[in-house]
Amino acid sequence: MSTVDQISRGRVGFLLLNGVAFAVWQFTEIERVGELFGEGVTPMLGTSAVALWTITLAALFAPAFARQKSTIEDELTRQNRRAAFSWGYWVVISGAILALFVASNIAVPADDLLRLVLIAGVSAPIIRFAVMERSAPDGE
Amino acid sequence: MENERLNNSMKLHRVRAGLTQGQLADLVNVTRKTINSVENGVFVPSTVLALKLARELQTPVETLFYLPDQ
Repeated sequence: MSTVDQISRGRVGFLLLNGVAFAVWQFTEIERVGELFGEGVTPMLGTSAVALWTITLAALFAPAFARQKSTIEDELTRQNRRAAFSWGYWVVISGAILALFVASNIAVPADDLLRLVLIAGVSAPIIRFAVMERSAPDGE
Repeated sequence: MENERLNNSMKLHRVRAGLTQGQLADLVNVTRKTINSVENGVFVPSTVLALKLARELQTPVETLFYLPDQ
Protein backbone atom coordinates (compact mmCIF):
# COMPACT_ATOMS: atom_id res chain seq x y z
CA MET A 1 0.00 0.00 0.00
CA SER A 2 1.40 3.40 -1.00
CA THR A 3 1.87 6.29 1.42
CA VAL A 4 -1.01 8.17 -0.21
CA ASP A 5 -3.30 5.16 0.29
CA GLN A 6 -2.21 4.87 3.92
CA ILE A 7 -2.86 8.57 4.56
CA SER A 8 -6.20 8.34 2.77
CA ARG A 9 -7.17 5.30 4.88
CA GLY A 10 -6.07 7.10 8.04
CA ARG A 11 -8.21 10.07 7.15
CA VAL A 12 -11.22 7.78 6.63
CA GLY A 13 -10.69 6.32 10.11
CA PHE A 14 -10.43 9.75 11.73
CA LEU A 15 -13.52 10.98 9.85
CA LEU A 16 -15.56 7.98 11.03
CA LEU A 17 -14.42 8.46 14.63
CA ASN A 18 -15.08 12.19 14.41
CA GLY A 19 -18.64 11.72 13.15
CA VAL A 20 -19.46 9.02 15.70
CA ALA A 21 -17.84 10.93 18.59
CA PHE A 22 -19.85 14.06 17.76
CA ALA A 23 -23.09 12.05 17.66
CA VAL A 24 -22.32 10.33 21.00
CA TRP A 25 -21.33 13.65 22.60
CA GLN A 26 -24.59 15.31 21.54
CA PHE A 27 -26.69 12.27 22.49
CA THR A 28 -25.29 12.32 26.02
CA GLU A 29 -26.35 15.98 26.33
CA ILE A 30 -29.99 14.99 25.81
CA GLU A 31 -31.77 14.90 29.16
CA ARG A 32 -33.71 11.68 28.56
CA VAL A 33 -30.58 9.83 27.44
CA GLY A 34 -28.96 10.78 30.76
CA GLU A 35 -31.92 9.32 32.63
CA LEU A 36 -31.79 6.16 30.53
CA PHE A 37 -28.10 5.32 31.05
CA GLY A 38 -27.78 6.61 34.59
CA GLU A 39 -26.07 9.61 36.12
CA GLY A 40 -22.68 7.94 36.41
CA VAL A 41 -22.24 6.58 32.90
CA THR A 42 -23.58 9.43 30.76
CA PRO A 43 -21.17 12.23 31.83
CA MET A 44 -18.21 9.86 31.47
CA LEU A 45 -19.38 8.78 28.03
CA GLY A 46 -19.97 12.43 27.05
CA THR A 47 -16.53 13.55 28.25
CA SER A 48 -14.85 10.68 26.42
CA ALA A 49 -16.76 11.55 23.25
CA VAL A 50 -15.75 15.24 23.46
CA ALA A 51 -12.12 14.23 23.97
CA LEU A 52 -12.23 11.83 21.03
CA TRP A 53 -13.97 14.40 18.83
CA THR A 54 -11.32 17.04 19.70
CA ILE A 55 -8.44 14.64 19.07
CA THR A 56 -9.82 13.46 15.72
CA LEU A 57 -10.56 17.03 14.64
CA ALA A 58 -6.99 18.04 15.47
CA ALA A 59 -5.68 14.96 13.66
CA LEU A 60 -7.65 15.80 10.52
CA PHE A 61 -5.89 19.18 10.41
CA ALA A 62 -2.51 17.64 11.18
CA PRO A 63 0.43 18.38 8.83
CA ALA A 64 0.51 14.75 7.62
CA PHE A 65 -2.85 15.28 5.94
CA ALA A 66 -2.22 18.89 4.93
CA ARG A 67 1.02 18.03 3.10
CA GLN A 68 -0.68 15.31 1.03
CA LYS A 69 -3.84 17.34 0.44
CA SER A 70 -3.19 17.93 -3.25
CA THR A 71 -2.87 14.19 -3.83
CA ILE A 72 -5.65 12.83 -1.63
CA GLU A 73 -8.02 15.62 -2.62
CA ASP A 74 -8.52 14.45 -6.17
CA GLU A 75 -11.71 14.76 -8.21
CA LEU A 76 -13.26 11.56 -6.85
CA THR A 77 -12.83 12.83 -3.29
CA ARG A 78 -14.36 16.18 -4.20
CA GLN A 79 -17.30 14.44 -5.86
CA ASN A 80 -17.77 12.17 -2.82
CA ARG A 81 -17.72 15.18 -0.49
CA ARG A 82 -20.30 17.01 -2.60
CA ALA A 83 -22.52 13.92 -2.72
CA ALA A 84 -22.22 13.31 1.03
CA PHE A 85 -23.05 16.89 1.96
CA SER A 86 -25.92 17.08 -0.55
CA TRP A 87 -27.26 13.91 1.06
CA GLY A 88 -26.73 15.51 4.48
CA TYR A 89 -28.85 18.47 3.40
CA TRP A 90 -31.81 16.16 2.74
CA VAL A 91 -31.19 14.35 6.03
CA VAL A 92 -31.39 17.69 7.88
CA ILE A 93 -34.53 18.77 6.02
CA SER A 94 -36.16 15.40 6.76
CA GLY A 95 -35.01 15.62 10.38
CA ALA A 96 -36.46 19.13 10.72
CA ILE A 97 -39.81 18.00 9.27
CA LEU A 98 -39.83 15.01 11.63
CA ALA A 99 -38.92 17.26 14.57
CA LEU A 100 -41.74 19.64 13.67
CA PHE A 101 -44.18 16.73 13.51
CA VAL A 102 -43.02 15.34 16.86
CA ALA A 103 -43.06 18.75 18.55
CA SER A 104 -46.57 19.39 17.24
CA ASN A 105 -47.90 16.26 18.91
CA ILE A 106 -45.90 15.74 22.10
CA ALA A 107 -44.06 18.00 24.50
CA VAL A 108 -40.34 17.66 23.81
CA PRO A 109 -37.64 20.09 24.98
CA ALA A 110 -36.60 22.27 22.05
CA ASP A 111 -32.89 21.87 22.77
CA ASP A 112 -33.19 18.07 22.59
CA LEU A 113 -34.88 18.25 19.20
CA LEU A 114 -32.31 20.73 17.94
CA ARG A 115 -29.50 18.43 19.09
CA LEU A 116 -31.00 15.58 17.07
CA VAL A 117 -31.20 17.81 13.99
CA LEU A 118 -27.59 18.90 14.66
CA ILE A 119 -26.47 15.26 14.86
CA ALA A 120 -28.23 14.57 11.57
CA GLY A 121 -26.62 17.61 9.96
CA VAL A 122 -23.06 17.13 11.22
CA SER A 123 -22.45 13.45 11.87
CA ALA A 124 -24.49 11.88 9.07
CA PRO A 125 -22.66 13.56 6.14
CA ILE A 126 -19.23 13.08 7.75
CA ILE A 127 -19.88 9.36 8.27
CA ARG A 128 -21.35 9.07 4.77
CA PHE A 129 -18.28 10.80 3.28
CA ALA A 130 -15.96 8.47 5.21
CA VAL A 131 -17.85 5.41 3.97
CA MET A 132 -17.67 6.68 0.37
CA GLU A 133 -13.93 7.28 0.78
CA ARG A 134 -13.09 3.75 1.93
CA SER A 135 -10.19 2.21 0.10
CA ALA A 136 -10.86 0.36 -3.10
CA PRO A 137 -9.96 -3.32 -3.16
CA ASP A 138 -6.68 -4.24 -4.80
CA GLY A 139 -7.14 -4.55 -8.51
CA GLU A 140 -3.60 -4.53 -9.76
CA MET B 1 -29.77 12.33 -11.00
CA GLU B 2 -28.34 9.09 -12.32
CA ASN B 3 -24.83 9.25 -13.76
CA GLU B 4 -24.42 8.78 -17.49
CA ARG B 5 -22.77 5.48 -18.29
CA LEU B 6 -19.33 5.58 -19.86
CA ASN B 7 -17.56 2.38 -20.81
CA ASN B 8 -13.79 2.17 -20.82
CA SER B 9 -10.92 -0.09 -21.75
CA MET B 10 -8.63 1.32 -19.07
CA LYS B 11 -7.62 -1.96 -17.50
CA LEU B 12 -6.69 -3.51 -20.84
CA HIS B 13 -4.49 -0.56 -21.81
CA ARG B 14 -3.01 -0.20 -18.32
CA VAL B 15 -2.00 -3.86 -18.18
CA ARG B 16 -0.66 -3.61 -21.73
CA ALA B 17 1.46 -0.63 -20.63
CA GLY B 18 2.78 -2.72 -17.73
CA LEU B 19 1.46 -0.38 -15.07
CA THR B 20 -0.26 -1.09 -11.76
CA GLN B 21 -3.20 1.02 -10.63
CA GLY B 22 -0.91 2.70 -8.11
CA GLN B 23 1.73 3.56 -10.73
CA LEU B 24 -0.87 5.00 -13.10
CA ALA B 25 -2.40 6.95 -10.22
CA ASP B 26 0.99 8.50 -9.44
CA LEU B 27 1.49 9.44 -13.11
CA VAL B 28 -1.79 11.36 -13.33
CA ASN B 29 -1.66 12.62 -9.71
CA VAL B 30 -4.77 10.96 -8.31
CA THR B 31 -5.32 8.19 -5.75
CA ARG B 32 -5.36 4.50 -6.64
CA LYS B 33 -8.99 4.43 -5.55
CA THR B 34 -9.84 6.89 -8.33
CA ILE B 35 -8.17 4.68 -10.95
CA ASN B 36 -9.97 1.65 -9.53
CA SER B 37 -13.32 3.50 -9.58
CA VAL B 38 -12.80 4.65 -13.18
CA GLU B 39 -11.83 1.14 -14.32
CA ASN B 40 -14.92 -0.34 -12.69
CA GLY B 41 -17.20 2.30 -14.22
CA VAL B 42 -18.17 3.61 -10.78
CA PHE B 43 -16.73 7.07 -11.45
CA VAL B 44 -16.84 9.04 -14.70
CA PRO B 45 -13.62 11.09 -14.87
CA SER B 46 -13.42 14.73 -15.91
CA THR B 47 -12.24 15.59 -19.41
CA VAL B 48 -8.89 16.69 -18.01
CA LEU B 49 -8.31 13.41 -16.18
CA ALA B 50 -9.48 11.38 -19.21
CA LEU B 51 -6.97 13.22 -21.40
CA LYS B 52 -4.17 12.69 -18.86
CA LEU B 53 -4.97 8.97 -18.69
CA ALA B 54 -5.02 8.71 -22.47
CA ARG B 55 -1.66 10.48 -22.68
CA GLU B 56 -0.04 8.23 -20.08
CA LEU B 57 -1.46 5.08 -21.68
CA GLN B 58 -0.52 6.36 -25.16
CA THR B 59 -4.03 5.70 -26.45
CA PRO B 60 -6.57 8.00 -28.11
CA VAL B 61 -9.08 9.13 -25.49
CA GLU B 62 -12.01 7.87 -27.57
CA THR B 63 -10.47 4.37 -27.54
CA LEU B 64 -10.05 4.52 -23.79
CA PHE B 65 -13.55 5.85 -23.09
CA TYR B 66 -16.62 5.21 -25.20
CA LEU B 67 -20.39 5.37 -24.95
CA PRO B 68 -22.21 2.05 -24.32
CA ASP B 69 -23.94 2.14 -27.74
CA GLN B 70 -20.66 2.50 -29.64
